[in-house]
Amino acid sequence: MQKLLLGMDLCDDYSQVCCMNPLTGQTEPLLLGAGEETCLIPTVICRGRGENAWIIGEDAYAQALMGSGVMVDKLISLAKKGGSATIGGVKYSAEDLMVHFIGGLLDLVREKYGRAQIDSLVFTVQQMDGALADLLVRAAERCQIPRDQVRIMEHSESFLVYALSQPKDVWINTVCMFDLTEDGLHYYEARVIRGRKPQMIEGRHERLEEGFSLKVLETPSGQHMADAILTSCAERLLDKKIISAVFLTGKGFTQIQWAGNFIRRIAYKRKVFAGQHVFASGAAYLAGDGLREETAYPFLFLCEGTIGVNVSLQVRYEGRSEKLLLAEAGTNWYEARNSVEIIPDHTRVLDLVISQVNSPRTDHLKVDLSELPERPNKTTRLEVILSFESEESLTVRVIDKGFGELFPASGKILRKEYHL
Amino acid sequence: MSGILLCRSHAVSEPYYVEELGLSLYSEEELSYYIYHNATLIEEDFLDERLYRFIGTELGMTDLERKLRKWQEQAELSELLLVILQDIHYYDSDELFHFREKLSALAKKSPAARMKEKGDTLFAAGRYAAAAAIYDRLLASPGIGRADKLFVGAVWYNNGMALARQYLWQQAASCLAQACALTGSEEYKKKYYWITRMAPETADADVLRGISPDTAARWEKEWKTARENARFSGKAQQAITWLDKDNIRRAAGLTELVEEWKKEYRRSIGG
Repeated sequence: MQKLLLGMDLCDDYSQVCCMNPLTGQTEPLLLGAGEETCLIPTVICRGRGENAWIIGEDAYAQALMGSGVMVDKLISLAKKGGSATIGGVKYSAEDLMVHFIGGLLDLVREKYGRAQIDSLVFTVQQMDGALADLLVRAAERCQIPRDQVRIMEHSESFLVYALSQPKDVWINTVCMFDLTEDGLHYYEARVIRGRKPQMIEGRHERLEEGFSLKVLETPSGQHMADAILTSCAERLLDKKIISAVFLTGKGFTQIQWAGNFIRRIAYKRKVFAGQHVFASGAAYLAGDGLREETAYPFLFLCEGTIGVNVSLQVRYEGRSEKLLLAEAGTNWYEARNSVEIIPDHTRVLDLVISQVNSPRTDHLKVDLSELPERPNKTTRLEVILSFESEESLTVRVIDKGFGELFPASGKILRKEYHL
Repeated sequence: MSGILLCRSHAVSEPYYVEELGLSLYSEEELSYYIYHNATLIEEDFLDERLYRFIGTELGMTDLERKLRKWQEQAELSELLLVILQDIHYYDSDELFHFREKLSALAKKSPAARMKEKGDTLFAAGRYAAAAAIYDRLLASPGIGRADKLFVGAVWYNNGMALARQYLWQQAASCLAQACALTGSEEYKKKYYWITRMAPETADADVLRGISPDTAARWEKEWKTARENARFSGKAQQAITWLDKDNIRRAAGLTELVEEWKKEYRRSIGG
């Protein structure tokens, strides 16, 4: 039976779902509407008055317009703030609302594929923070998807995965993408850096100041102005770069006739693709990759949302000295959490080595252990926990675990932060 | 050698209980530490099914378990202890060398000296009743009459200290009196004097005969200083740290502390 491997792009305006088909190796978007004409599902939820029935997407809009329900929108911002909404006198947390919204999306998927069990789910969001990531994992768990089957990534990483999932001639040189939504205009770039092992793919994301409201596109003069803005952006961003393909995505590019000059500018000696589900598709490719024995993406991903350094510790294990990698460059910061147990031997300092992947520079993060209780040598077991608040902020916690009943733990915790 | 040792990460479901010390071991590092520092307590029966199961099943060191089972019949206990320490890698080669030397020095000692060392190890671990039992057995052994007086005096002294730690003042004073009689040691007499200060009913003027008034005055001063210091150190200090906390934390902290002391006391008397 075909497994359900999903990528779910969650944005404040629209959400999308793609399903990876392991047999074809391709992703399929979840299409809605009478003629299955759109994959954009408004990120809104509505609860009918006096009922406990939750409706999502366009139907939620319709119900709210008819006055038979209360609608809540901007669910991602609400989740980031840890906010709540009161509907019919009942206060719902952002997590509750997200559970109903994600549950509604999953019901649509289950209905389409006729299967109840979700085998893997990868969320992708514009920008991740710890609170949102934790909330999404909990919401997925409440939707019966175990934590170990859930991953979260940022749009930048989804774009890199999507680009690498295309035929090689697409990403032989730099690949770029314009994402035009109500939220603004975003530019993404992906470049494979060859000649090193593992191969590295570097991503860049820029939120362009030239962004405009999509309402502009409703009039010919507005379209003309938007075309001029985009053409100017393309000239600035693509100039003197060897680019093999340009992707266009976002609600602003559902139609591209209005952007004639822009298209001519970007299409010169390049492939241009317009599509609506790049991020959800990238996430779905990753969902499928998780079930493979060997990854289809043997690259080191360096982009927003992934860490750009290796964090290691020189240890002795089974009598041999070795470098223990605690956090690996290219890992999504949310997943780069790690913990180990160690015993200091004639040392009162924990010396973590932070090495950049792009330069020979190394730095040292030293944690002074002298605040821990005095004990005989090698009778203090420490749990070292590395966690990231973002791709740039590393926190190290050291917990005194004592030495069994011989030297009971004090439970003291040392904490050190480091800006990468 | 300095550095950082990486621990294997696994939680044991059933720790290894060390009856002599009244505590459980939860990791291979703790097992190594126990062997290294308590070689005098370890006898042939240490290598038994319970230990093999702990090493193989709980610690997941099946190769070591297999090796020990295979060599149990052919190798000496000391060699097998070294095999355990080597395989766990908690101690480096220098430390293993010292352990080997410690074992051979122990092997060269007389049975009486080994027995005293066992008592001393239990004393150092706070197992006072067990230590006193060992000293009693040693003092009752047939050859003790021929042993060096200083050695026997030291055993009496240690026995006295082990009994004093159990608040058995009369018996402690009696042991110290024997130690003083055998050695004439001023240090032993001072401790005897202190015990008589703790429990005046134990005093026997004969034991301290010949002590000058100056010496007695010095001991008295030391005794008072030690008693004064005790108010601000050790267990008293542990309790004081909780007095600054708010009502709820203070009550919880002190309750936990008293529980800990009770546990420690029970362990010291073999409970």
